[in-house]
Amino acid sequence: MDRRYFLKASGIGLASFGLMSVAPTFLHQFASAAALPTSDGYGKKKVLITIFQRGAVDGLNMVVPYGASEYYDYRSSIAIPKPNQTDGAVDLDGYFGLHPSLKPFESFWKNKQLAIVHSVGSPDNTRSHFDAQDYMESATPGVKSTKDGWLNRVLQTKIEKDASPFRAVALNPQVPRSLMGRAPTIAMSNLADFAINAGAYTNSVQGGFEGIWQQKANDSLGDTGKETFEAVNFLKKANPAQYKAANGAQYPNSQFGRSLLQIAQLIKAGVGLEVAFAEIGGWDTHVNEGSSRGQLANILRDFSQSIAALATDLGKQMDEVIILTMSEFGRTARQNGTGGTDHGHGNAMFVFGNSVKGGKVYGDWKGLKSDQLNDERDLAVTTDFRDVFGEVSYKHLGNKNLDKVFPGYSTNAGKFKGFLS
Amino acid sequence: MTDRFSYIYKITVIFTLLALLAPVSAIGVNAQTMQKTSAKYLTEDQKILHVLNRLGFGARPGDVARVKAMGLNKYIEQQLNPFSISDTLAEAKVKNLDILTMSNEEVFAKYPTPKAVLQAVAKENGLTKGDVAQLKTKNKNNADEMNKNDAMTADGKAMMPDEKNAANAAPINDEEKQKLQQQVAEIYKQNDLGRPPQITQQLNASRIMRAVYSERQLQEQMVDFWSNHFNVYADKAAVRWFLPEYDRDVIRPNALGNFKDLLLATAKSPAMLFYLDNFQSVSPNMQANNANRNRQMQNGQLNPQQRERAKERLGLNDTELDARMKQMQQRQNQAKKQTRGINENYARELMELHTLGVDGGYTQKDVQEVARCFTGWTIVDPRGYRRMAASVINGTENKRAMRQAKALGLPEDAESGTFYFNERAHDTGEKIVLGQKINEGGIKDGLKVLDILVNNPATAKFIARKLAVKFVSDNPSDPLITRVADAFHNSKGDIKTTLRALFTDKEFYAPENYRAKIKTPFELVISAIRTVGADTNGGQIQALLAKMGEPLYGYIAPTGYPDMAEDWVNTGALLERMNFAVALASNRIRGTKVNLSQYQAANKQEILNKSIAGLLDNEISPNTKAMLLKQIDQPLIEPKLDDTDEAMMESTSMQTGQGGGKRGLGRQAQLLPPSGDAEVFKVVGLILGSPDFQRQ
Repeated sequence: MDRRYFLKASGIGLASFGLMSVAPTFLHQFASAAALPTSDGYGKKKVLITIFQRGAVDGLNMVVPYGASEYYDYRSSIAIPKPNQTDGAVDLDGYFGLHPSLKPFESFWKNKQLAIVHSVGSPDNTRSHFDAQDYMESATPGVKSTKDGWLNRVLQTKIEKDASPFRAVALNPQVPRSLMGRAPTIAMSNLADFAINAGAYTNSVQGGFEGIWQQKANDSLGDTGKETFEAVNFLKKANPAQYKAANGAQYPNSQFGRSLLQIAQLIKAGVGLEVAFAEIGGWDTHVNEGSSRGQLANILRDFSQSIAALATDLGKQMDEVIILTMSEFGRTARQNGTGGTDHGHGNAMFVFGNSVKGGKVYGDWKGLKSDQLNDERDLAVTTDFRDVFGEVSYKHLGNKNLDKVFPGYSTNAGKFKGFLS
Repeated sequence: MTDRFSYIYKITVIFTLLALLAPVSAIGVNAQTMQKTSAKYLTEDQKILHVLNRLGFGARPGDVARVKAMGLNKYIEQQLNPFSISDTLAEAKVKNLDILTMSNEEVFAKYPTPKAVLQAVAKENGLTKGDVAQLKTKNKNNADEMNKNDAMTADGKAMMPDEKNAANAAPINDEEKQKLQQQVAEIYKQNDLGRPPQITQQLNASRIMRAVYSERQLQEQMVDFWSNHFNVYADKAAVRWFLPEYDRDVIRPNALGNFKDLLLATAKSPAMLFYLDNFQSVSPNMQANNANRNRQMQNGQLNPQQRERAKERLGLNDTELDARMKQMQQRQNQAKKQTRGINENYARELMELHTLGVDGGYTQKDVQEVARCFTGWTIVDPRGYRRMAASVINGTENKRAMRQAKALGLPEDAESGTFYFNERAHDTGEKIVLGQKINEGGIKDGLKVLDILVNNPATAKFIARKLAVKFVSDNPSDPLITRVADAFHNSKGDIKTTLRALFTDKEFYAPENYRAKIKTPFELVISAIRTVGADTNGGQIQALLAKMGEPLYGYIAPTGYPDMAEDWVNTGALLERMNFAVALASNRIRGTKVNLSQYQAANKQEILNKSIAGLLDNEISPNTKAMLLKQIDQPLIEPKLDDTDEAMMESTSMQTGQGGGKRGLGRQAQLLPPSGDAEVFKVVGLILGSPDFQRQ
């Protein structure tokens, strides 16, 4: 095992929390001397933040192919008007546009920090949310018995010398399927939950536990106890409650906004985060989906404001960070009888980061004519989602073991879309 | 990770050798290792503790003495025959949980979904189906998939979206939604109905209470083992409603019976049929027939004879049939029919996870052939809450469900949620499985497959290994596995015989295996409750179990929770173990009451000694003991407590997890304020949260 001493966390972390007043003296020196990237500690790591849109977002109203006339034929009451019309799409490239609720993404697009992959999805045609989420998170479409998630395999197969207990964090009450597996993962809905909780006796009880867990055990408990308290104490000192977002970033006061804010805190604290997971639900719009306003518009607003806040807050640190969004499948090209859309197939993904070759919609776009659709009803899948995951794993996280991360599937540079250099 | 195992293994071997050569000279050696390996044999008391920890969920106060009086071998033999043990206390504890005695149909009737309830009263309230669909909006995720893509009738027909949603529903605003929800709540109340999450809340409470109180400790361990081996996931659509039956009629009667009976029971269980999709698996030929028939109807091309047959089959009159055909034509324009056919999921997991194991020597072709053998193994009215809601609330039958039943050729009184072999959906062609020809026909095809699998040596080995990991060590020796596999094979899958071989094996009592396994979250929770003699209703404790990462029926993948500690010991989970320990000791868990007065004493040293004796039977590492000694002198409450800190801690909530969790326990479970003698509960909490108590 490669878990190592935790408290070598870098001075940068402490400084970013505004902790100089509470940090021990020796760390003071460390921090002021090291107000620049350190090679020591967990200061600078490549980070992947994955965001799961559970419930299958309507990709065609999220990244709108307003240049396809069928789009307006199929969606009499829910289509997003063309750019320049009232409540129209935010133009991207003369053919695609963003849902107006995604306006906060526009500046990232213009700065080439946002790339889009369209017509992406699973080779498996299931229309079950359950199965499709399972397949996407295990990254083994059609195979249910895969015991671990793809993000966990990314970590398992990429040995880090100074891996931290916070290598993988899910802002969730439970470890999501994507992160299940042997590589240690922390799941918490709230950073404050990562503590000993004994009411008024907390300090005393924690002191007791710290004492008895100091010694390394010769079995699978190993150093875990010691590491736990190093992590707990670090977070406690960091005092997440006092966090202030940078660069004027404003997170919405939503569950999703809070999740992303806490991810930013972890990154800035230099706790050694490599993979973070957050999710946002409410996308299963069978009824009254709405157009530029309405149900979908509301959720997209939370989605875009939260992500934009995160990317703004991280600022220069987005050099090291990729934000990748995903959803289990897309929705039918045609609207249904209740002003909504039903379960479909192909969808769109967003990729944010300063290292992204942004300002471009990637993927092989077939079109929306009936015979171009999957089963004559859904956007076809022309890019296997594993090629997107693979490109991020390989180029961003530097994981060269793609055959192990994606068992039974061969993805390689030839299949990558090229949204990362 | 394997390196670590081999490392531990080597260390263990070295120390074992050292111990053999010079039993008392191991000075300076790590205390725990010394404790485990310094003796050649376990003492009688250690053997008893070992058996109580491994066959059961740890000792309650007085258990060691009771087993001693009875004799260890007799105790084990008794545990192997659970139904010979009277179990009045445990049965009394679970007596009031109504789901435990309900059939699947009764569970459907008592715990319908809010949507089914609303649908049942929609018409008389002037609601469209669109209105109904809007009732459930916020935060949809995988748990909410029911009624959607799984919308399939028992004979394999896909249901079209517009059957679910009526045309042009007006948007419902929040106020209207609230009103609808109130209305639904009223109907639940009037008809004495319960919400679906209560099903798993009750079932989980029963699992917890039985594990705590039952005298049949091995039975409860095996229920836990098989429930994980034959894992199903509560949050997959209708699975939740089938779980009480799954526990009661599938797992429990067979937990110490014959493996083949158990396997067959799972194969036929609605829980498994639904979870692994076999209920939808139909022969491609049947698909063609249906498609043909539907195509004719869509095109309006039915001759008079076909018309009559269609009317009969669908229970419609002429006008209704015309309307139906028109509707089908429209639907055709709207969406293409989903293709349905053979589903291989069950067939694959049956071999990979239930019997042969992943290296058990089967091919993809075998998977396909096995899947063909199980076509037609399905469920009557798999989402019976709809029909039952209509019948309970209105006293009427849901017409669609009745039509479906009729189309299947089922008798009118066929119960919702029961196993049914649908001859029409069965693939009648010849199949070859693992080189053997299968042509028994009908349901016997599947039965034959189960026969072949149970008798395959790979199955014996696979099950033997899993049992050895469960009961002996995370790294059992090959000879042990072979001995146990032989017992399995020679007894034709008799679980009792297999376990007897395991429990009488010298490796079972080997010193290096003593206190060498880490408790699973369930084992930790149950053993802690038993050790302190706490009283529990199994309620809120579920939320804490979920926080440790293993809610009951909450694992999404068919593999079940990993059986090796390496997979679940991590910082987050460890922290939750400690928090649980201290919450239990300080009486902060609603519905679980502990009285620690027996550990009270005149001074702290004495409290500590009593606690170590009572909770760990003095099996404590010198290091832990030294640390505890130091800790008891620390002040309980520091002079100046940081207010914000305390506020933060107090507001910390127990968020619940998925599976048994998210839907099962949607509410946050707030901890109670600590109560009891603080000096005592601190010591007891520390011990229950110590490395020593994590081991068994």
